[in-house]
Amino acid sequence: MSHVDDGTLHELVDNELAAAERIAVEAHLASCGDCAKRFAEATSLARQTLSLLSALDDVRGAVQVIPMPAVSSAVRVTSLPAPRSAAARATRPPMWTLRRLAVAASVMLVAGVSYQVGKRGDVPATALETAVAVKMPRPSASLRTVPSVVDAPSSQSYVATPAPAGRLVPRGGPRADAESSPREPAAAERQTVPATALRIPSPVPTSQAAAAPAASVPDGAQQRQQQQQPQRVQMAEQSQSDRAAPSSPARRGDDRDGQSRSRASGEMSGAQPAPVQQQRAPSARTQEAGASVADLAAAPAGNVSPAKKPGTLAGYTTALESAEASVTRLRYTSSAGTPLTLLIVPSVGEAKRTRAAADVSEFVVSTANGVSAVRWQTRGVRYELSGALAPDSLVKLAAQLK
Amino acid sequence: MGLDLGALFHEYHESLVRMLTRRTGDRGRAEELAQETFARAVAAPPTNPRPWLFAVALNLLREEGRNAATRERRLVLVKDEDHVAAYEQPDDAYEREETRLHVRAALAQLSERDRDVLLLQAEGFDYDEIAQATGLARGAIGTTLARARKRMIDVYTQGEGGSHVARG
Repeated sequence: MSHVDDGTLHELVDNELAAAERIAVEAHLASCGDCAKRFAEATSLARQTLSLLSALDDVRGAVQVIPMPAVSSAVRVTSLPAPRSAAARATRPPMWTLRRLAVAASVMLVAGVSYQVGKRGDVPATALETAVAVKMPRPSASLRTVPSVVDAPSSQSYVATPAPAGRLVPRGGPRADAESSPREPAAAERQTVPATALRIPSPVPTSQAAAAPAASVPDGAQQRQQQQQPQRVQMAEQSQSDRAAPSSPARRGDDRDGQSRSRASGEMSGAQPAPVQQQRAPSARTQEAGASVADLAAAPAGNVSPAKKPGTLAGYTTALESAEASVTRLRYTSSAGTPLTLLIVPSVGEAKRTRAAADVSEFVVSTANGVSAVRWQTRGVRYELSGALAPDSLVKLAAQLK
Repeated sequence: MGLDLGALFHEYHESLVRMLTRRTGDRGRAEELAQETFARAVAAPPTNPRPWLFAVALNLLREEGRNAATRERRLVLVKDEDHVAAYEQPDDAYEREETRLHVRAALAQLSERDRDVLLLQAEGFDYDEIAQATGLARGAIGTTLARARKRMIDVYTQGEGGSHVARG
């Protein structure tokens, strides 16, 4: 038999040769080193191709992939009752309901009830591939042009915050928002969602409350959650100690590796030991946990200028969710119960790469399935704030954090 | 009539969406296309569902591509930009994203026919099914795969090497 052509070799690889031909080809391969080598190559090509193609599958980057049971359970507490929730929670809802769901979700988003979206397990917080990416060179400029129409409760709270000098919230923008936005969503809200759906039931059903980490759920639930998650408490304490020593190595720029976690925590707390004491006081609700979460919790709603503290969002409470694998995850919950997640990722790989470690002064916004994410970078640390909010609302919040 | 759409859906939806996601790089679009494909299956129940579904999906994709060539270009631009300014991720995720971009670039270098054959084979299609879905002669599938795989790996390897050099 003469040498085997490539097509036939691949047919053999794929086991597509008829028996007679396969026997003939195999006999040839047994006696022809060249063809045997080409067969091995063909096998390798086929295997590599499959492997490469699987890289295209819908696996998000590690930052998004970290499972977030916290969010989904919180969503369960705050989401609408029965039928629709059930449909949305199904791992793979029938496609013809998806479009309807999407419509419903967008309506709800406009209504400021954004819990529903982003809970499907297969759609993590950000989806860069499908993202409508909006590059915002100067946050202030974009804030001016993009009106906030979403998440009325929280937009009220941060829009109403007077912009301190040098802050990213421009004078012109928020006022226009304050005039136009809260009214509209409120009306939409009434139409589409029963009012009760917006309230978190006061005695939270125990099964849900036990799993619900949302800082905005009733105090009891939060305490229960802390009792059940000593690990989280422990981590919170660690970052508390980081904060207590703001001049520790964690704050310096020379720690590339080992300090990443504490560094990230330090970033968020800024050089401000102040919140610790400040948070201790109103910590009746977190007494049981020794105020360990409270030191990360945002200022209470009445706080005069919460926007000045990095790491806090006006109208949002905060909880440290995890600090594993050098990724710190903070969780914000608005007074309306909208959960936001802040990821803080130290740039471990930066030193290796020539890519500039300089601050990226812009926000990169992406949105998919009603979940938006804002990413930015400060002093080599990457941040990502994500949640079921409109991108522009999220950018405003991010501006507070930056 | 007699089409058990539920079973059809259950059996092929995941594979179809995966193939379309690989093909388009856009999970959302892939889901839409799959939805439309199944809708057509309801309208005209196929006798041999798997090749039929994938053939319809790829045809839809082609039609869409023709209609929206400009839109696609714009999307690609935005995506590239997004990548350049992208928020960096930890190393492994970063590597994965790099790999993904290179694979996508390599796949884009293939002819449409080669790409389709490659993707169908990756979904476990045998040559008969590939032939049915693409309209190619069965005898041409092996050669097509040989060419497509080689080109895919070559371009990918080049791309990887190239970017390392470029990055210094």
